[in-house]
Amino acid sequence: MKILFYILTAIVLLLSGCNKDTVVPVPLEGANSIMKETHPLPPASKLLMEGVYQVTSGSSEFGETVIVKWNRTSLMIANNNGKHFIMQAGHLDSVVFVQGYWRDGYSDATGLCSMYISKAEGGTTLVSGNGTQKIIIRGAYGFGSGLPDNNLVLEYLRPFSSKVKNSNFYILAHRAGGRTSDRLPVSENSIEMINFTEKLGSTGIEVDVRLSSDRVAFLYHDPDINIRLTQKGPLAGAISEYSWAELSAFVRLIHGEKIPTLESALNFVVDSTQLRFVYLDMKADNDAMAVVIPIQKRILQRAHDLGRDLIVVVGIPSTAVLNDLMSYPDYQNIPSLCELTTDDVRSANSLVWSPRWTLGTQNDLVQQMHEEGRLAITWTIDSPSWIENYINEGLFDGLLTNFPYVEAYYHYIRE
Amino acid sequence: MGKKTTGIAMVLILISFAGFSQRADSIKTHLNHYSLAVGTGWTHYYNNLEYGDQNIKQDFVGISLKFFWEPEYRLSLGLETGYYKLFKVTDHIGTDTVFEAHRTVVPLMLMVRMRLVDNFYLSAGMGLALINNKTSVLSVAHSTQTWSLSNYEFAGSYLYPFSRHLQAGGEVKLYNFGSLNDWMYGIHLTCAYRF
Repeated sequence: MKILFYILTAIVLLLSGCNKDTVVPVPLEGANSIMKETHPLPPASKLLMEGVYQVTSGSSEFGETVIVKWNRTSLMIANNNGKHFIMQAGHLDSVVFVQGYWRDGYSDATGLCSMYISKAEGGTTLVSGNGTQKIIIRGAYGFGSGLPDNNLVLEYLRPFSSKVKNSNFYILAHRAGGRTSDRLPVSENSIEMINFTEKLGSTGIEVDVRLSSDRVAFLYHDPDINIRLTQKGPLAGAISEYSWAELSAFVRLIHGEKIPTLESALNFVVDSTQLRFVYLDMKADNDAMAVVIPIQKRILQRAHDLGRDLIVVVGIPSTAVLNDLMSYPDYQNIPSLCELTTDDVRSANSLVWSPRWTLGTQNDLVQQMHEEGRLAITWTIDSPSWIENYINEGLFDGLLTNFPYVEAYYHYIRE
Repeated sequence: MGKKTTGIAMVLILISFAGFSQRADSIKTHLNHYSLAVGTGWTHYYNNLEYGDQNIKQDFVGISLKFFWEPEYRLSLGLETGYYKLFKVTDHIGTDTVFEAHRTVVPLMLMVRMRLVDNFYLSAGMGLALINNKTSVLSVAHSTQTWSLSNYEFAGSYLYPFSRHLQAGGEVKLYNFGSLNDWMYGIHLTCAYRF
């Protein structure tokens, strides 16, 4: 009997260990949200709203200060340890309503948030687009799908510094904007993620490029089709051994999205986002430059024609890829990002030098790169304290991270 | 001197007693047995595909091969392998391009088997599995292999002894192949030779 108990316990443990929990649920506001009744804020109002705020109520959860920053689709509020809000804002008369949800990027914590700016506490200033009222955002936050019932008050401290406003710093998000393993509501390396990532504060992205067996370039990180990144389907094994027709028809990413071709993803960046930097991380090792460089050229030409300020660089993570690039005619005019030594950067005439962050800030080498007219971007840096250290002590032009809202906080709060 | 001699003599006597007690019994007995078993029968793939499973065939015939060391205890230790087809999917790419996908698996499990009562056994095991995925489009086929490192199996069996060496019976078995979270169960007829 005792043995039977142990066997049953083992079976229960094994089966319960197989649960697939891939997303932290995004709390829904409900059908009676006031946001549907509001009017969009004009661009001037959005600019007035941006800045550094003091958390005068709710600081036990969200810290002493936050930054408030508009992006293409929403308002982001971020603190220094991964807690961030994705909010919508609109006005009714002179009252500004701000609603959405918050999420802790380093855990599963999330909840609804409902706030407002009254007429007397900045609403009039914001709606008119000018004035000197001090902005106070009042409201409440909740946990899970529960109603917001914990006080949250943000008081405007100052605008972003001129150093921040004039800088061309790139907040680069990993895997087209975020990792699937961080349990985001959209899959990594998808067009949906490219559309989502600006809500997290990103101003650029890294994407992983592979080739199908019939040499179509597409976005995917791992070498194999697996249930960590894809919905379970009839295909398995090495992804590069399948044709694009097979992948397109029978593989869906973990949240149901299709795997995008590189060209469709870059077209989306140009047409539908305000992203300023795309790093093509070359995961393919089978003479991929011959496929990827023509796509890069077409996209850059298109961005130029549309007046878009966009950098698209092919990554050089290894000497094999460097040799592949250098076998390409006119390789010195191809915008590239080299992860190798500064000598390799010069050999390939790379636009960007991108050392691993664990090598340190290397300010002397970064300075050399700047003097040669190149950029320097380090990867992949995730710890809040290291992000703070590299932004404040380093000279890099951007950091690649899985937590762009943390990087955004430490960038925008700079004096 | 006398004491020393006496002491050495006592030690030698004790050693000789111990040595005699280890002498082989004159009657030969088998305290260990081994068995080799083959099985075949119906298998069913538990369809947990989330995509591309509109036309899926889940029932096939599988074979298994087991080797067990059976000491005179309730527990036996052994290895099991086999060949199982998990599913076949037939679909179309576009309107008229026929696509087929097959998944087969060859597990290699380290098994522990326990005799519950006479002729009834429960077994559990874990081990490796080689998963082969074969697809064909327009009659052009290719295969990809992948290893699954975390797999387990549970089985219950009944083996009736027809003679001193021969046993036959049935087995119900459940497999999980961890890397792709594939589940399969089946009922096999089993024949074992014990030696």
